Amino acid sequence: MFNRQIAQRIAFILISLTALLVILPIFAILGYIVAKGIGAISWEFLTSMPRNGMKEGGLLPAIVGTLLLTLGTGMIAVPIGVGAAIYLAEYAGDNALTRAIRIAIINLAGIPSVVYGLFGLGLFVIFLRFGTSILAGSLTLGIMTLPVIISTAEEALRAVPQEFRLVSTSLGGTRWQTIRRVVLPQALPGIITGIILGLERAAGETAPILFTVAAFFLPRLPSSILDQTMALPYHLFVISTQVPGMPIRIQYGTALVLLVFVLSMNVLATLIRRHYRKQRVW
Amino acid sequence: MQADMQAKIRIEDLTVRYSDGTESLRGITMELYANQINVLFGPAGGGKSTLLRTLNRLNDQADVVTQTGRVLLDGEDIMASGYDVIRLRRRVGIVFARPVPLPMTIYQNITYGLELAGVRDRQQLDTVVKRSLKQAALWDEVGNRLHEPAHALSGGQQQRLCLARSLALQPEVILLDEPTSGLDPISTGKVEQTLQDLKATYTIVIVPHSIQQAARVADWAAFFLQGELVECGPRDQIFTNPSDKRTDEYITGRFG
Amino acid sequence: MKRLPGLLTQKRTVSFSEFLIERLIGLTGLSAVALVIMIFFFLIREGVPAFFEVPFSSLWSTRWYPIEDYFGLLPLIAGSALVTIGAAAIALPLGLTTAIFIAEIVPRWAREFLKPLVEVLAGIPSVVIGFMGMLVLAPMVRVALDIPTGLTAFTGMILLAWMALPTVVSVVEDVLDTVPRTYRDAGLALGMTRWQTIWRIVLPAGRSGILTALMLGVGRAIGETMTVMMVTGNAARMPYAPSDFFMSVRTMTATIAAEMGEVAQGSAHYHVLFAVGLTLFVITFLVNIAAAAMVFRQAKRSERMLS
Repeated sequence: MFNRQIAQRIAFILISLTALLVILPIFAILGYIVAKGIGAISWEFLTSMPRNGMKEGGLLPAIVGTLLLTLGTGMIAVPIGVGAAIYLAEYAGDNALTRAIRIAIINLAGIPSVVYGLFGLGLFVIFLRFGTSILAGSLTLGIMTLPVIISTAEEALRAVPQEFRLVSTSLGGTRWQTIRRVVLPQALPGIITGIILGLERAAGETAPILFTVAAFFLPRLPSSILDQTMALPYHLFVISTQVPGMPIRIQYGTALVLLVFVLSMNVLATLIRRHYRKQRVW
Repeated sequence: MQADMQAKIRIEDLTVRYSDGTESLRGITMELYANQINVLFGPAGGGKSTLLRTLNRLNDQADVVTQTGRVLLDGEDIMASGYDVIRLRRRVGIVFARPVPLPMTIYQNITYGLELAGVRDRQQLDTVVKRSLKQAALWDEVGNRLHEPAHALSGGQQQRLCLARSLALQPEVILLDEPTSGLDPISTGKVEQTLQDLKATYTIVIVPHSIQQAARVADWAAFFLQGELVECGPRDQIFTNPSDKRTDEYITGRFG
Repeated sequence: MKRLPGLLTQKRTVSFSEFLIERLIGLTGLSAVALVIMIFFFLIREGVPAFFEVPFSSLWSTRWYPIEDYFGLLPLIAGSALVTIGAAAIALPLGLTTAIFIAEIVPRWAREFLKPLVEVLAGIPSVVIGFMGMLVLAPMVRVALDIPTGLTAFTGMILLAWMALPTVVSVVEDVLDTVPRTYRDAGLALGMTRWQTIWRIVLPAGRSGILTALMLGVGRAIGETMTVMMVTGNAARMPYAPSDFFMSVRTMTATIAAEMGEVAQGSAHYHVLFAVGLTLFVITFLVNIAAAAMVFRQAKRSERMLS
């Protein structure tokens, strides 16, 4: 008995130590970037064009570019993703087609982001002649984001109790009326959470935009969806690896802005989920 | 048996099988009468709920494998292909064992079916809400808080709300699947009283949650055992002088 | 009681717009299949010409030097394999312990706080992790091991393992959750300590799920691009000895990312890069199918256990 208690204590201590080895660096990274980058943040840094080979000035075109790409990604991925989730949760039968769709989604989720970049280059930039553009980049990121949105939205739809559907049907509701008036409103918070998490991932991605939209240095704002644009993740890559003599302060400042941009979406998603979980009646 | 009893629904040789084979109906032929409380009773698993859900085609979505025979509502076969199921469900309402208020206000719950059918006129809706709640004996309790969420009501109130929700569509037939199984005796009494009031206007088909309730509310009763209709007839005949031995044994509590 | 007139007069109960919407939903449902096929098609279209333009002996060699038309893929494949296997070897034990720590050891309030924290890790962009890897981890590795550069396969492995953790942890947690309560209770009732119960009962019961987590982690690690490109030094050299852990390597993903921007469209180099992408696609496809099949089998078994 005594030995087993000691064994348990030792095991738990070892496990806790290794777990801390994983968890502490998360704090360390966040804290370090904030500490090193906060000094670079100023109104000018956020709202002006980069100057002098990006060694001075601000991030405006990269911030705007990332905003536009996130928006574009949402416009592509949300309607298709939510539609596909509705299909899977409400319409699809237990048949070969449904299995094929599920396998396809699993694979979409597993395709490396750089391969999405290749695909975007091959289809949108070259074949469809969109050029390296916001349009091509948004489409590429949108497709990459689809599986995240489909899976989370389907989960949210399935969580709505079956009884609501039965009641609505029994009151003369058609399938679509039931979905639109009962199921969707109830699943909406979960769907929105999933959308935000999907867009969060898209906003932070670099590899898919390398050959489809990102500009190395373009100190003006895009005027059409066929323009190239700078983007925060690619900009961070560029200034930390491709530009010699880049002030370290600006590098950390850029990393901080990107991190805040992305993680604030994460926090938003968590808050929405908490808020509605409390309100939910089922 | 009263001479003026008019058959609202006629079921002819109905057979239903699920894919898992658990609950099924075999060769059911019977009639359900207008302005009567028709009771379907018997031990669990006898196919009563399945029959109920066949009457407004709610089984369509379950994994029913085979469904043969005819179900005539006012002489029209509701099982026929191309039959307008949506209109059927407005004519034949249902109340389930567990009250399920939709996640909306009391008012919206009641107008839900009408709005789906395209009724938008506010005055009309107001009238229907009031009338349905009165019919379900709920108006006095909730008339002054129609715009509160429905799930805040007590279990008994929720069940009467579900009844009012069905009544709002002015159906011709109301199906009730053990509507009082989760309720206390007082609420149960209220619901049963409501049914007595309603039968003047509607055809009521109920699966009771006990033999006592069956005997209390029935005008006409049908005894189901393992997917078969053992016998049916007026209440007094079934509960005092059944013709089948199995009915007698079930009623006197020897099994079930 | 009389019926209200004109309440339910609408004739057609399923309208045309509804028909249209349902068709559209059906189409979006098919989108995933269509996209996978399209991605496969375009990778083949742009990648397969490489096998005709570049002799096989060149592709199957250890020299990657595209400027002089050396397209040896072996160092890239070896680089990816080395980093991925290394990352998996680190991620599995760490993921397991972290999941056990979160699910079984810490009190409830800490769990509510740690789970979102691990999700935050999943949200940190890979370019930020690569950036920190370059500036913080690489110098630490260089000093600690006393080697000329910290940009090594080893550095990449550590970061990849760390990045794969949210995936591994969440899958393992799910697995620990699904082990029936009665198993644990039986163990505890027999006088086993909590640790013995976890070690002897919970972990073996969740074995296949843990394998799934491992495969999904591998799938993530092999496809990771920016972090690897920033911290592994990108020297396309063939690793031979164990000491090569601590040398620079170049992975398939990093090669595509670094070179695709520079190549002429339609050149042999361009096609070879697509062929590398095609290889990655096929590998991740297989890994994910295998993982999904395992999840499926597991689901079936738990259904059997419940019924």
